[in-house]
Amino acid sequence: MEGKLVQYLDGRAKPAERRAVEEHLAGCSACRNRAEDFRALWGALDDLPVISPSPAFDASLRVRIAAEPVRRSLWGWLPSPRLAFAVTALVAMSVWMASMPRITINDPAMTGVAGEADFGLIRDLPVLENYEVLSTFDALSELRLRRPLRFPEK
Amino acid sequence: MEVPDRTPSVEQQLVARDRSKLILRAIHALPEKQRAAVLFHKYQELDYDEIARILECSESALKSLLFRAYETLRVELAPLLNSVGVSSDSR
Repeated sequence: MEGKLVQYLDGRAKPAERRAVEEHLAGCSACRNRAEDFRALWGALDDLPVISPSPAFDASLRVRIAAEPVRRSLWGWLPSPRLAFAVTALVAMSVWMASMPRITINDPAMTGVAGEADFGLIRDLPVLENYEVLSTFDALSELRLRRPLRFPEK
Repeated sequence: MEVPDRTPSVEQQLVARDRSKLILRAIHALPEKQRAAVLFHKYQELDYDEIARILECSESALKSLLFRAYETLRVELAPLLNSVGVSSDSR
């Protein structure tokens, strides 16, 4: 009876076990009183507002977690979110850059413009070479004045 | 229209607090394995096979363990149970 009463009272006994306990309780006042007391006790235990798990619970929980089979789905093989985001951003940037129009010197119009610019540079090269001379050239200082300058009197 | 105040009075709160203290003290006074069994059974609502695996014992040994634990609590908390006359069909 000792091993069956708790299971009977919490409703987890199988029908056959339940019938056996009920038959026993019908003829045993001591067990019947004990069963009533257990019900009363459980009601009192239910009145506890909060009961914190003991340290044994934490340890047992770790045991249960460790005993859990490892489930690896398709998602489990994916890399971390950060790495996935970085790879996606890199691919997107590569696609975007590949889709940009390219400036090539094979373009005839661009080739013509570039040719003219090069020709102008060559044509103006002597001027650029003499830039220093020209920039310091003071022609006015060498001019001979025909008559002296007169400043208005105050 | 007046709404009845359902909040417990200070006296009721003190009685409930003392009651809770007595029950907690009785639970904590149990041997470690019995205490764990009660907590897993009554508050965590684990199945017998789960509790037995955690406590590393057979299911029949667990049922005896639980019986002894509740029997101890019944004796320790008899004054409380008799004075209040608690009776419920809770698990």
